[in-house]
Amino acid sequence: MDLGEKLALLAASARYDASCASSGSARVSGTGGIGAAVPAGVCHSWTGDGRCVSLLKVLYSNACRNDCAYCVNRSSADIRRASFGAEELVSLTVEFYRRNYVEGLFLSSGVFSDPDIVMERLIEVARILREREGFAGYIHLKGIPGCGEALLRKAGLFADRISVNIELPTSRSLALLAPQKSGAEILGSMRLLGEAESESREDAARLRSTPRFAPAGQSTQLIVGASPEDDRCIVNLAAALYRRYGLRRVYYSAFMPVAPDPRLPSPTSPPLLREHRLYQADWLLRFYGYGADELFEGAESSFAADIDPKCSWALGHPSFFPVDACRASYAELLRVPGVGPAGARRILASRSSRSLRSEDLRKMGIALKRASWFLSLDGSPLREPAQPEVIRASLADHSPPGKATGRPAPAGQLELEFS
Amino acid sequence: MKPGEDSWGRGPGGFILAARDALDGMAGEGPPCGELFAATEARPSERREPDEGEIWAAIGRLRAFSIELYDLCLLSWMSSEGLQPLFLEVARAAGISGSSILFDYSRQSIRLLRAGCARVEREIHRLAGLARFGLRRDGLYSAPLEPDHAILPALAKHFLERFSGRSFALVDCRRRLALLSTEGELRFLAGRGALELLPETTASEAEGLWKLYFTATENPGRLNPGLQRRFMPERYWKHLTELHS
Ligand code: SF4
Repeated sequence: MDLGEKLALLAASARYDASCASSGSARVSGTGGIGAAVPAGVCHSWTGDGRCVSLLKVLYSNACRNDCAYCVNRSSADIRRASFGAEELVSLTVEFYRRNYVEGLFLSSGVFSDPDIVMERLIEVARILREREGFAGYIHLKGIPGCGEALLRKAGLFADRISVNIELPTSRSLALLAPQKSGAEILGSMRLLGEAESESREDAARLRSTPRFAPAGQSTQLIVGASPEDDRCIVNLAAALYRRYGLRRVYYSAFMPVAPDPRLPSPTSPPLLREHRLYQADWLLRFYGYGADELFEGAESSFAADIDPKCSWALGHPSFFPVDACRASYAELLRVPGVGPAGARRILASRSSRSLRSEDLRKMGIALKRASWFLSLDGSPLREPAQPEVIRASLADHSPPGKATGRPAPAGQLELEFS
Repeated sequence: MKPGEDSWGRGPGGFILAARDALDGMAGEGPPCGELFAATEARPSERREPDEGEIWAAIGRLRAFSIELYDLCLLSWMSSEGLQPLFLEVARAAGISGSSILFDYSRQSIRLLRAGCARVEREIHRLAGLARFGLRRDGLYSAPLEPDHAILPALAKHFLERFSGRSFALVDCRRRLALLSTEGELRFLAGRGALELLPETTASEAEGLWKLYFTATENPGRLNPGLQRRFMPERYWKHLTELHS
């Protein structure tokens, strides 16, 4: 197989991994090296599915001895198999980087051999890039499930980010759909990565020259809709991963059947709206100060289809509103549908120099169509109260992300500020 | 990049002085509001070339007053939407009422200025990703660009770090301007000299592989071309090799 065919095959097998972020790391190359990692990340192109292309995202090999039901590369699949050589990957990365096609490399692999051997191969590519080529661009390595601790630690010396995919929300589903994987092992790797990262942060605080362990931290991916777990279960899991292992990102990937299998549902299209709601909820956890338990009322366990989780919370807590734009704190303003972090900051900044009118709010980019139900100005509500159904109807946002609403990205790669 | 270097003297230097004058309530001689490197045309001989020390002092003055104001100054200077007089008006008002007015979004001037500057900023960020370099036979990596705004100077730092010492050029085809970095030295060129830095048109192997990669990475189950266009407006497609078959 020539390099082009291999590249096409091993890129196509890697495309189901949603994460492509290149943010969160700052590196500069020494003399003779190339590149610099940019803390904010850079998108280099967008594919026809609206995803940002930031990294050369490929598998080292699509040969795999595991047989995960949801995966195109599972051992029972009848597909062509191929593997890169380390030098091929190094030269592709460098060539693509120089031409400004990508920010770096995202390397994952099928488990074609003993997990330690696979992990070593991935590390070797990263090592050559860093040590021989002086490459200071971004490197994301996938932690191969079941590989040894020492190797994960070594990977962190060369990579900006390491991720171990959790794949499914419960061990029960893993046992059913990915029988060779163990939930305990995956969480064990995450714990190790979390510890290594915080140790290195402490060391760096003491001695600035200590090399940082995976400075962009760890992320993970979870498939939504291949197993029966509800949104509540997934959101609780994500919150726990952020809290316990210091993950930077959890990526959600709507399940797309790759082959008929009695253990799997067979949706006609991937559950994109559900994926979108989970990203919205994830945003609320990380940037809006919501707790996972706040996002579901009583026995509810799934997000509404018609409104986003922030609106759901607002409708479920009428006594919290109206929030007064002239007096409320930043945290309170953030709870108002139609007000995002930028809007909340603008309200705070503007009201220090003058008194606010509703006209001013609109000019500040506050989505008054939604916000007016929940805001007051100096004690007077912006709008007459209405029946909850009426308010709900006006907050509706049914269409899947990016389509009719023109809303930002599905894959959560954008720092979207939804309000 | 230093102000006062030949190119910068003809660059934002004059505008920075005008900004300082506006801030300090002085009338000034009127800003050179034209396009970047307007100096490619003959300059009115009566306009004095700003002196390096004076520009540095003005930069210091603006930054000490507010970093925000300084950023807005450079962004409006790069804008091709004629934001410059609006910026000076805001600088004048800020000089009178203090820097907090820069955040007062209830003022129309602030909203317009910020919206305009945000468009320039967005384009800088976008093109940092969308610039496509070709390797010329003489070993120079060169990227043709057709930005809406005159943003080459704002991309310099990013690509200097990225190329770490290797030579590269950015060419603004429409304005016939180029930024050339060779052996750590940065130069601006205008006119024909700029266009001579464009990459050759023959396709390279790397370009072919990139196209293959791009096609393979697309996820056919989730096509959403509207979203693709929103992030990557069609006016930039001309130089994006991956989109040409
Ligand atoms: S181990 Fe990874 S590559 Fe192999 S079948 Fe499972 S998900 Fe696919």
